[in-house]
Amino acid sequence: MAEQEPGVIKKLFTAEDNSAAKIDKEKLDRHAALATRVFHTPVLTLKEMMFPAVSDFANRFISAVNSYQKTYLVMVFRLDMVYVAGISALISIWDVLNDPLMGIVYDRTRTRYGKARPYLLATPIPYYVSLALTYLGAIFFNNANTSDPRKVLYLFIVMFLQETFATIYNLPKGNLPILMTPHPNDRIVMGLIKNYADFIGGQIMYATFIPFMDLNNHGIINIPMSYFFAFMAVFAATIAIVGNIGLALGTRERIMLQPKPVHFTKSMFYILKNKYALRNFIASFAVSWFEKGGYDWDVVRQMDLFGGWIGTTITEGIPTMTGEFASAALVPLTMKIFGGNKRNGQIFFFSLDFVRALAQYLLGAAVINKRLLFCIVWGVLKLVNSMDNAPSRVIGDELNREIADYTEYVTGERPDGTAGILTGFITRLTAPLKAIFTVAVFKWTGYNASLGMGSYRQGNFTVYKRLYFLETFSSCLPGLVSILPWFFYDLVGEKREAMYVALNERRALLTKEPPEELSMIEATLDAEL
Amino acid sequence: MADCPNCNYHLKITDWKPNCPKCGVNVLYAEFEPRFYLDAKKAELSIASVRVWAKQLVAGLWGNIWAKLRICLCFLPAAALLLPALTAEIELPYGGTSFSAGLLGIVNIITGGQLNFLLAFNEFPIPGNAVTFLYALLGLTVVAVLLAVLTLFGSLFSFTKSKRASWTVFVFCCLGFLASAAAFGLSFFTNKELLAAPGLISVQLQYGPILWAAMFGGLGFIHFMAAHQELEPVYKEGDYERSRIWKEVKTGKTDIYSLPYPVVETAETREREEKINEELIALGISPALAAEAKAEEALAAAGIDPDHAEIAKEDTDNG
Repeated sequence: MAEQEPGVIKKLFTAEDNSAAKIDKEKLDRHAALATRVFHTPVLTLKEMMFPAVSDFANRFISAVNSYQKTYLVMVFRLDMVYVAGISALISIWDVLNDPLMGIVYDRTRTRYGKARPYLLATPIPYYVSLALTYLGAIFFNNANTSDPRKVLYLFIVMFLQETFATIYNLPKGNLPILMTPHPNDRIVMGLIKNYADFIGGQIMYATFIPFMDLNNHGIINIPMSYFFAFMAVFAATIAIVGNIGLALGTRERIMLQPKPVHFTKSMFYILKNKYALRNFIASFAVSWFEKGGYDWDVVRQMDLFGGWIGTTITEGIPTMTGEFASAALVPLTMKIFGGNKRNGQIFFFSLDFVRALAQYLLGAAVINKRLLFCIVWGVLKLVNSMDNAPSRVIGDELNREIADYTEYVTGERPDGTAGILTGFITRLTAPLKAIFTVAVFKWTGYNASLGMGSYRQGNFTVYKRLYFLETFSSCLPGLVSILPWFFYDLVGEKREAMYVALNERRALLTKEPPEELSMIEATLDAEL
Repeated sequence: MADCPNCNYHLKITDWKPNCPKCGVNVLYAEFEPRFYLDAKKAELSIASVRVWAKQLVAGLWGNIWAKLRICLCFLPAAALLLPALTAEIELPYGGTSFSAGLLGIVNIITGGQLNFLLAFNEFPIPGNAVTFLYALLGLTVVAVLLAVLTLFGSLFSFTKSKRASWTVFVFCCLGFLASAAAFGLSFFTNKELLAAPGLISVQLQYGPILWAAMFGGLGFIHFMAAHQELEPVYKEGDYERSRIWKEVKTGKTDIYSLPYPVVETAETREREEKINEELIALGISPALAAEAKAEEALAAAGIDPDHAEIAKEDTDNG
């Protein structure tokens, strides 16, 4: 009796026929020895692990400069906020259009250099040059005309180029570390080194940028801001170009992908086959409307409640740095306790954060009008918060990689570019609700932005308590929904090992019995017959 | 530029497709297994090399009691120099200044504009050898400050070549001790001579050089003991051998393809092999098949594609 074709619904949710989950076990087990060895063998040298770290370090420089972009465009480049907002809106529309396009092109990429590396070789120069040009604009157009049409055109062109190359660059850049090695420990160590390089890069930039701006504002040093921003942007862009081209040249992709990528109309629905990714998406979609008021409450806290950058450095900067570095020492202990069951680690760290955030809010709110006590409460609990950063990041990143590997297990494909098309589109549906919620939350706080920022400028501690609530504890509430799927995550222990063995067996099968060569042999045999 | 692992066709940069333009074989797939073993060997050797370097660094910084003491106490001579040998205040009709013969005094003299004033001191009508002694004292203080700075940095970087660094810093400490002793003696003479200068200068002796000498002497003793103690880093099993082999591979003395995998067998690698065997048995792979797989692995580790070795053997058997 012939097998019935599965229905459309069943086809959407079940594994693909050529995936590791469905291929005949006997066929897979022919390469079990190689697959098992690949899973248990580290293949990355420390030098190769450093390339993504150097790239992240360099990118952090750039993002630190970019965090002041609006300030630069309005105050230094001297362009009216209306034009800045308008250009940003147009660029956002272009971003929405080009992201899925790039995803489709990226997933279809198969070269002998790999999937991600060709993009990382070609895009850093145009991307970072266009970014540097943004901050050179004030030197090229040194006038006070905030409606100068040349300025508007210049900004639009450089930001358009920047956005275009950013899209082509960002997706492969984020994906490359996953493609470099199938060994879980290699990925964990590389992830840890990257995180620290990123953190150090950010701290160096903030340690130079903010004090410099303060000294310049107070007239102690006298360098025009246009030259300062231009220098920082060119310096950061140079480091970023060198770091990223080094990443492309110094690394290799070792995850063997199937030769013929599937059509994007199929791969964009692959999230339905991955129950873990689907559950996480549903949970995050359920709370995607949540927003903390759309304002930089941390800057308000630093200026109003801490009293400026000196107070911020002592109360926040030092505990954060101390905690971050100390947390690296906790990673081996964490892996010992939770290595075999990272789900428990994820739930544990969420619970820890929940309790810490609640304590931070309750204690901080009680002493919000006493600066010294408030700073002590904040500093101590910030130190506690930072101490679990590295371990929780390691656990969280590895769980996300496992879920991505599960997609390859049930589909045979790594649709890193197109997997987000459907989910991104669905999430955008909540954008209007998110905007309404943002406005409502901002109104609820009672914050008066026209008063500016300064020591207790609002004059009302109820306002500060509400802002403090939003900054410290409010994210834990949607977090209670986001953590729910992890209670049902069962890709642990033997089941996880079995998945990885089957996945690596399929990859080994691809290399030993490549489908195109098999089909060539079959075609030759058919012709002879 | 790479060559096709199947037909040895020289692939150009513009041959970006995964398949060889000559024989059509997928280049990435064909070279996967030999490249995997090459990467595994490199990772094993290079990471062991980094671990050896880290252990030596930690041992150099913290390997025994003397290494710990030299790091913890390296700042003492510089801290001691905060106490000056002597403080003086000069009052002149058109102005005056004060200075001290210590670390802060030297910094102030250089950065605070007092240097020219002190150099002009020579032309003042001060009887006796007061000015000469003062200049000598200040000179010895500068020498002591420089030696304290060299001692500090020498101690901090002593983990690099521990014994040689310790002997070097010991010499600095001896010189510092001598400079401090000379400064102590000279401070008495300078004080006596300056007090004789009529109403121009008020001087106070501070006995700083006693502390300087004690700190230089103490740190010198610590470095002397550190130079005589062997530092014995405790390496992970097999790491030192791997580090040695890695150096030979990098200098071209050893061909990495000639090395087996694992390069150095240890308890850790045996445990890993056992785990792999257990998983294979759990998958139902027979011992014979596992042995065949192991033979193929050895070929791949030597850079030979096992599939091609199989075909070459068949051709030989068939004549």
